[in-house]
Amino acid sequence: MLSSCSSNAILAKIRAILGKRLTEADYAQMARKSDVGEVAALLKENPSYAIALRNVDENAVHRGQLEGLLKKDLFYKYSALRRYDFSGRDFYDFVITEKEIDEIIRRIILLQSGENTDFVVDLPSYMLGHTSFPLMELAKARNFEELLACMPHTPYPAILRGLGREDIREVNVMDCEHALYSYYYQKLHETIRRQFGGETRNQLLDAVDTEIELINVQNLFRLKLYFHFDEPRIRQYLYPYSHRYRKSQIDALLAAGNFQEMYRVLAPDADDKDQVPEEDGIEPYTSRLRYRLERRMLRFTTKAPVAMYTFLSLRRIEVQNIITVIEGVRYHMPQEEIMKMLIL
Amino acid sequence: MGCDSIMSIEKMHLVNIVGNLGDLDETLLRCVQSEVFAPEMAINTLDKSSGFSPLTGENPYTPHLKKLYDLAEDIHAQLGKADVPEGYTWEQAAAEVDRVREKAAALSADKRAKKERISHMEQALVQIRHLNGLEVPFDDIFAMNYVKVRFGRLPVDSYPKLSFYDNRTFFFFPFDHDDAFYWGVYFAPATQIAAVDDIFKSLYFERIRVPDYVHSTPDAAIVSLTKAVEADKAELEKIRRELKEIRETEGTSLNRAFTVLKAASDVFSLRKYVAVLGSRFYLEGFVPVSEQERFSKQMDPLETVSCVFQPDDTNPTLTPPTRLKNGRFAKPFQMFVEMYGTPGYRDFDPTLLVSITYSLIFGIMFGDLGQGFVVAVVGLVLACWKKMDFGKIMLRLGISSMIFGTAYGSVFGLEHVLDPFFRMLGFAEKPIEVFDSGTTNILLIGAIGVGVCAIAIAMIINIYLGFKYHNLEKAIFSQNGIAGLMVYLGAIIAAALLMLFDVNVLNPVFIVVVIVLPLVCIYFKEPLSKLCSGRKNIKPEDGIGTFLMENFFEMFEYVLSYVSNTMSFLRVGGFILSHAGMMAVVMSLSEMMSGAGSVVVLIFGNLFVMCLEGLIVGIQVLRLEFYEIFSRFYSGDGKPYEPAIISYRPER
Repeated sequence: MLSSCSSNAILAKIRAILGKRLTEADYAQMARKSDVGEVAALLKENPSYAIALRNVDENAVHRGQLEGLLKKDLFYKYSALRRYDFSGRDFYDFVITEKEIDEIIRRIILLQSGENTDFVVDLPSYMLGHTSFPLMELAKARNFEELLACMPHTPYPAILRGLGREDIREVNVMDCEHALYSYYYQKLHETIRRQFGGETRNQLLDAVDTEIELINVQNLFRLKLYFHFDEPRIRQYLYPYSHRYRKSQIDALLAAGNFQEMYRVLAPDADDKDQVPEEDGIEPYTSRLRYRLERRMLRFTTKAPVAMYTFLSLRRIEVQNIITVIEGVRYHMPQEEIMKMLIL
Repeated sequence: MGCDSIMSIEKMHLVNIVGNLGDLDETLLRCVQSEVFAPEMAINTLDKSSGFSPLTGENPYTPHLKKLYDLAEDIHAQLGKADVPEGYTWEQAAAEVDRVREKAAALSADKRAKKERISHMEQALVQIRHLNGLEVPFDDIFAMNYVKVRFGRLPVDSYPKLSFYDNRTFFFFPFDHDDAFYWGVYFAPATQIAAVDDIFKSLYFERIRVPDYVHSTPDAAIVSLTKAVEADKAELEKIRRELKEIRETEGTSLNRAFTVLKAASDVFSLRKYVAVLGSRFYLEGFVPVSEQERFSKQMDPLETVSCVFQPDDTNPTLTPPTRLKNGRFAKPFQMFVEMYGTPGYRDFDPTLLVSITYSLIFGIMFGDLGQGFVVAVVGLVLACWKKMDFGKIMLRLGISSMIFGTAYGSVFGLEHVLDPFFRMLGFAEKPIEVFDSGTTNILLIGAIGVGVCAIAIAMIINIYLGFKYHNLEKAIFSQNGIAGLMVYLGAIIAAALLMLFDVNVLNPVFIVVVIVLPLVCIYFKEPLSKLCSGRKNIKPEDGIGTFLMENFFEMFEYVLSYVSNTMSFLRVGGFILSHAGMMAVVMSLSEMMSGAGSVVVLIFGNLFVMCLEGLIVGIQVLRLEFYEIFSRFYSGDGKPYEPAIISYRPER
């Protein structure tokens, strides 16, 4: 009884937040501004971001600081929503796990480039105390062994151990990322199958598999066109889940010769106005597709876990859109160019 | 004609205006001056292959208006409409704006600089207050040769990250913190200050520049900063006075410039409705039939421009706008109707119905001769002084309340003041004694009677509209159609006869014909209406099972709504009793006091009851109108009639 009430509360809260989301007109208004401070001032007037940015001094705000605050707000929104879940399910931990993995990968990359302070600067302090290992220790690690040692009692050392030696430069980041995310997706699938049934399970798997599949497509494009990997090597980096695309379509993608051919496999019915320029990569297409699918799922679902999963994803896209606008304004790009880059 | 006057929605004509581009500005001006032309987007309704294109171009008056608005903001001038001398052009207006702007420019710049300085100092003041924990004079700290010091605030998120830099040579001392920042100071060796500054910068540390004139401890600094702020505020006040002088001397010329520029800008903005082909323009819109002749005359002097008036249904893609036309009594109540939604152009305008039922029910619920008089006077004042429609409504409600108050014999809660008057008229006592046990029942039954009438009228209107649109489902088979009316009135009459006169008409024939048959019609309204309109496929789209299930629940809801909507009107009777009850309390309290106290209680008690009950009764009647009556026939999805006019309200 309490659980179903809490579920309704989460849904109602999410719908209330969604009602205040930024519209295309809001983005256009932001993109017209001439500096980051003006964008911050405008965002402060928006009910959705007013609280998160209330202490920002728009005359002195830094781009990175603003981005940090937006991401922090996203995490706080997640925490606030999670408070209404009384089911005790650890499904909702997916946000923490994903963030932990992102931080581990970021640490490995910065260690490889010999940067020590950059990591701590962008470290999400608001997550300290929420993660399964101390994030500050990750900042202090100086080599691969120290990195593994600062995450005891977590599955990460076992996943990463075979992938590198003490010299961090010998570690293949792509392998690490693939291994960590394989674990994450597998855990997510297991949790969903174990904790949910019926419609909720189907809808959640639908959302998760859509996400994985589009990431697979992105990876496939990148590895084939920019890294020029051969087919078996590309297959090695694809996550073993599929949803909408048939196996034959993935095979055709692997066999295709160039970007346009690959794009035709993905979107055979696309007309001229739907074409994606090669220089932009496939990301605008996959991101927009994911945005549309998740928006639809969120609109029609009555299940709190599904709403939470898709809502966080959409909100991440919204934050990313704001960051795109901020960067565009910072580099004085014309409004229409900024608008073209947004996921809407 | 008769039908239209009942519906009180004005008939419109679609007017097509074609002319040479040279006459466009004059045409648009005359359209605006006529105040009756409701434009439509011509380009949307024209055939795409016809070659027409929209008229593009920036509004040339916008920059001048913007300058004027900025100026008005600077000198706090309230812009409004003013009389403009003959031959005063927009160029002259723009020049006038530039002249005043120049006059005020130095002062405005000074004002801005002063405000900025004050804001900086106030900010510094806020920040230095957070450093209050520091007991060392600033001079001593800044005098250090080998150690550099920085005051400021560090975001809460960055504070735990300082532990990462434990091995670096700096110290951070927080004096104070809130949910967003740690306020404090860091010290670093002069040789390493650049690197340490970089670290803090990357952690979004915001420095507080301690002003040069701050020498001693934060306490003393606060005193000196406060003094400086006060001095600057005094100077700012002086600048404001000078700007006020400008505002007073130049107010008229600025309003004149505003009137001309705003008119030119609003007329220009109508160009978005224009379609162009070669050197000819095309404009279309709706004009009320009653205004057609005046509009036509207004356009006559333009030789190249021709206006063609066509019936309102000439272009099926356009929905004619709705202009309500009501008599003096009903007109103010349009406000309530529009609050729910504008009636469709071909729909029924319920304003007259609302005006009668609202006044009647309000009067019944809030009957008091004295209080009604006060409401009417307040309404009259608001209507005449503030030109508020709501004032006119209050006047009508007040009079209705006075009439029913007379019937209840109630004046400001005094229930027997009017007794001599009634005796003079030949009555033994006042006509309605609310607290009499026999009267209470009659009041409640009467309230239900009012409800039954109101609901039945709403159904009859729905039936009329259904037949008018040839919608048989709505007119005959729906819960608000003939079938619904039969069930509703049949059941009510049967119950009334049984309970009041002990006559039982509920024989099998009555039950089958008046109750069961109409209910079956309502249940099968969709297939029946399809059958009547000659369609062959009457099978429900979602399958028979779904159809039966859905209609079962809907049927349940309909029957329930007949009962609940009727019972809803019990509140009419309830409020008569509650009003009398509350006034009885006021009277008792008044009697408990003596002398002036008694009068004061009586006055304040009356005021309290008037405000509280007046508001509650007003809302309750509106609720009855919207839920019990409107929901049966009214959709309110019409397009409001908004003719092109010049708005003399400054807007950005």
